[in-house]
Amino acid sequence: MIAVEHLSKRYGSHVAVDDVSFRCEPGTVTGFLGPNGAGKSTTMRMICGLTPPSSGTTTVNGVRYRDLPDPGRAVGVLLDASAMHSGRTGRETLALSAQVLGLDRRRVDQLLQLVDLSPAAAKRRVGNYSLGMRQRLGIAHSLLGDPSVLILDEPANGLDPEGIFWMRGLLRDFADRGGTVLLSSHLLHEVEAVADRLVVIAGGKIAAQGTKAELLTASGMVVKALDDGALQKALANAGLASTRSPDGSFLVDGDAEAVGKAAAAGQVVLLELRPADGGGLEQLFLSLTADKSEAQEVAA
Amino acid sequence: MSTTTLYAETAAPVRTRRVPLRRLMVIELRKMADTRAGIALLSLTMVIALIMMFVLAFAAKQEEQTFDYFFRNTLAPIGVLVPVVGILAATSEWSQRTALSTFTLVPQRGRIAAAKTGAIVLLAIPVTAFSLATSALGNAIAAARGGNGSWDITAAVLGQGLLNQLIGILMGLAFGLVLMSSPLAIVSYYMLPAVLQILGGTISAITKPLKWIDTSALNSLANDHLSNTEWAQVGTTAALWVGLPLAVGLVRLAGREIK
Repeated sequence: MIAVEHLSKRYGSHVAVDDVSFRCEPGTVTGFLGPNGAGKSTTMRMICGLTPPSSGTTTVNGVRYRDLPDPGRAVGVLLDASAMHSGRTGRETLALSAQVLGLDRRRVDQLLQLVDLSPAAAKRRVGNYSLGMRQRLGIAHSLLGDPSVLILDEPANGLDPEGIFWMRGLLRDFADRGGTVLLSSHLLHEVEAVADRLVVIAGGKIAAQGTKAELLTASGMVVKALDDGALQKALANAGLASTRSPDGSFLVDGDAEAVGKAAAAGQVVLLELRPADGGGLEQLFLSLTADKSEAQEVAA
Repeated sequence: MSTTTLYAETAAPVRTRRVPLRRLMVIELRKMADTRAGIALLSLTMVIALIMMFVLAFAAKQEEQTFDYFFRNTLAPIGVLVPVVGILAATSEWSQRTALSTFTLVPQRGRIAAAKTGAIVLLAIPVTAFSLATSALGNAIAAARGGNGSWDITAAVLGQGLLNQLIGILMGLAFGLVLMSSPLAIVSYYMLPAVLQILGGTISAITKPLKWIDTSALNSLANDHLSNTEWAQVGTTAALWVGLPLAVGLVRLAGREIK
């Protein structure tokens, strides 16, 4: 279980993480979504005690990370797959951490097998690994101590489609056995298939969070008209909140009937009117994050 | 700030033991020798000590060829190179970014620093033992070729040789800890004492006071008997070149953001 409460991080006048609170429960996969530079990695580093927060608290399994007696046995962490010694072999990288955790060599072999790194590949130095191989080694590393919590920052980076599919299965299985997973990505599609809950962060602030179903319902209707301006006016007149997407359609917070009536009242010709489904979640993600980055630009 | 807890705590913390410091020390030792750079550095050190031994066994004055003589002269080149192992033990965590996994597995940063210090002290023992073995071989070869071949060595020479190694290797670690960058730490390790010695050599007014902080004070450790003043100078020099950077390095490590 991971709990993040009112977490903030400031670098001088720049606010990297701004009053972020969320919680990851056992048995669930939480997708931590946001564009690059949104504050995902900083938040994850603060959870792991690597970055001191400016204010707020984080706990893992009810205690601060640094108060965990043997963190590797409780939490599996992969923050950056390229942060490995390039002059060390893949096997040695795992063997060192296994020794810290007091595990024997069989555990290393077991994990190398799990992430599909052949004995020949494990003998090579990490400097010669592709990003995908490092990512696999990093995932093996995070699972070494048989933790109950996993914290993974962009683990799908560099994995091929087959690897991404494999990782989804692995994380799903981990959560179904009662584990807690926090998984970040800047791509919605990567986490959509596996996450139960989503936390969307943009510009250091939480833009939305909830179960996938909740976020889908909240995403309302997608509507497109012949005349964008007239539609926007009609929606505003009907008191419906809407967000304009780059393709000219609107994401409206309301049901089909309300949108239809508003369009009829404004005599707007509609080209499309449908519930926002998976694609709507994408639009929500884009609009939420786009709004935040625009707001940032204005502020800057 | 509001201290309201957003969520009720449910899960109990996992109760396992902290990783024992002894195990961390063994791991830090392993980390010094399991990378390409580490293996290359340690092998190079041994090769240079062996070359030195052979040169002395065949080319030194025969009456000077004793065990004591070989020990002093093989330890010297080792003492120049081994501190780099200490430097890299601290800086490679940053240059190779392994700090990320090191400190997620052991979040108490002081414990890692303590383990590194312990490991580097332990490293001085096999290094000195290697120097003794090389010296024994050199002395045997020399004796066979008509050299002096005396096996006499005093405890003071052995102990002071080990102490000199320790100070050098700890100074390397301390420089690595405080500067956090391999090139910067290596250059500073060799350059700063040299600059100070050059200053002391050119400006006569500071020659005497510099004896208290100049690393050449450590050279007296090669003598059989040190005066009280010389011991005091070894102490102040070690405090400046080891104690100070170590202390500053620990403070920097505690506050640093690990990326």
